[in-house]
Amino acid sequence: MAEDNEEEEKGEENGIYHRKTAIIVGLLFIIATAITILGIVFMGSSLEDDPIDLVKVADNENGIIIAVICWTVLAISVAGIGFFMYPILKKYNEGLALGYFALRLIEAILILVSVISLQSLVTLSQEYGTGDYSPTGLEPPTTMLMALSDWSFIIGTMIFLGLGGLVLNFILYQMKLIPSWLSIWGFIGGACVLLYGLISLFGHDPAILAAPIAVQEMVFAVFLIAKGFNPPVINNRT
Amino acid sequence: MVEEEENQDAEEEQAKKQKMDSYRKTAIIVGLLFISATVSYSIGIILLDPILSSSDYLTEAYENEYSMIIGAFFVLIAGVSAAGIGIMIFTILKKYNESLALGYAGARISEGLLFTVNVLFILTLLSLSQEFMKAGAPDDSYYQAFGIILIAAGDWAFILGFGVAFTISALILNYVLYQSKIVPRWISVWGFLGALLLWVYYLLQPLGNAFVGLIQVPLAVQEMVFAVWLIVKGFNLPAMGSKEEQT
Repeated sequence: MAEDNEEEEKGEENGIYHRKTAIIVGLLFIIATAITILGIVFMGSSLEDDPIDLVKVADNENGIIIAVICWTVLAISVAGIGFFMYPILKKYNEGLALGYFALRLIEAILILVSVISLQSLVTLSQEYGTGDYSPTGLEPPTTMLMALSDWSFIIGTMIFLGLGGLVLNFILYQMKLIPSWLSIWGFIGGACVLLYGLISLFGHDPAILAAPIAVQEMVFAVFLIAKGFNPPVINNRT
Repeated sequence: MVEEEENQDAEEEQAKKQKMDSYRKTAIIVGLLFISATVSYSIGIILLDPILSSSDYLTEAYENEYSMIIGAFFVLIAGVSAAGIGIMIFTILKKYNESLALGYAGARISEGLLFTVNVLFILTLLSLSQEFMKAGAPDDSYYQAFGIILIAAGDWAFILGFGVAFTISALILNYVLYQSKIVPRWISVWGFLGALLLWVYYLLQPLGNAFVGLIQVPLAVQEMVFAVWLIVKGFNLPAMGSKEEQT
């Protein structure tokens, strides 16, 4: 423990505060974004019909499975960001650091709930191809699995992501670990995506509200990889 | 030299004061979260219960779309508040018992997660009811069967969240509060007994006795007393200070 502290302080003197963690977190943010986009590309339009066409789902089976693997990796990255940030954030406030970790963990679990529903939908579509089912008979389970997947994705990657963004950028701002403009941007971005999630509950889709945090996360990630955290200003050590 | 020492004393004094201020703030936040959890949860139930317990829930859910969404939203706030309580009180409880403090945070985060799962099933039921109406509200269809699954799954998520995760958390919290004396012992004893009663409530619930509903009142009232105590008076600081110096 004493050694850790010494190393840490040395690190601060050289202006390379938690350098390794900064690079890991930066990479995880980039992986999370890249893999989300990759998943959407592979998913294609097979799940956009209303009602869902199970024949199309069965045809795009491989695409959906790759997308589901992408989102599993996304869940791991999201949880990873939460626990790699913990030792840094806890220097400001242990409770809030634990809160950030919990928010990211819940987001990851909700992404996995979405993954489970989509996988089950693929299984159902395969069954539909081989079995003797009437098309209308399978509409209720199809609707249920698709809705469950959509809702858990909305609550996870919008509402809990937004709350996480608020907590993270509040602490980053207070500790001055990154330039204030970047943390304020992140805070506003978090509020926007939280609002996006709440509006989505009512069935609207103002996708523009996701843009501020999406861009900020990439700037933040590049900043962490290229420069690392600034030495912290701690005025509330609890 | 003397001056330096005085400076150091003043600094220490300053640091101590800051710490006390932050404990005071934590107490107020935890108190407000307790109130927010209870109030949002009650609003959620008032909005959702008439729809989910009606025999015609698919039509009711479709017709009362906004009650469903706003009700689900309030249950979600209750879940986030519950998790927030465990998280914010962690720094205080861990001074007395770190493993129980982590256990309490974990129990309340699980409760929040299970409430969120409950919300997922409610929203999915809403989506199902919309497809049901689109299909012309057929009397004899599998929509009803899947509606029953969703309501049952939501109920079970809630029972595990409230009846198991929350009840265990209340026992842990009041045990640590009793040991540490950071709030008066009449509050923690009351809370512990209230939590035990709640266990009895969940054991008796399958019997369907109407009177057992009253059993949850003591803990509900205790939580509000505890919340107001935290907001008005905060944690008992001298007890906390002395313990800290020992470590």
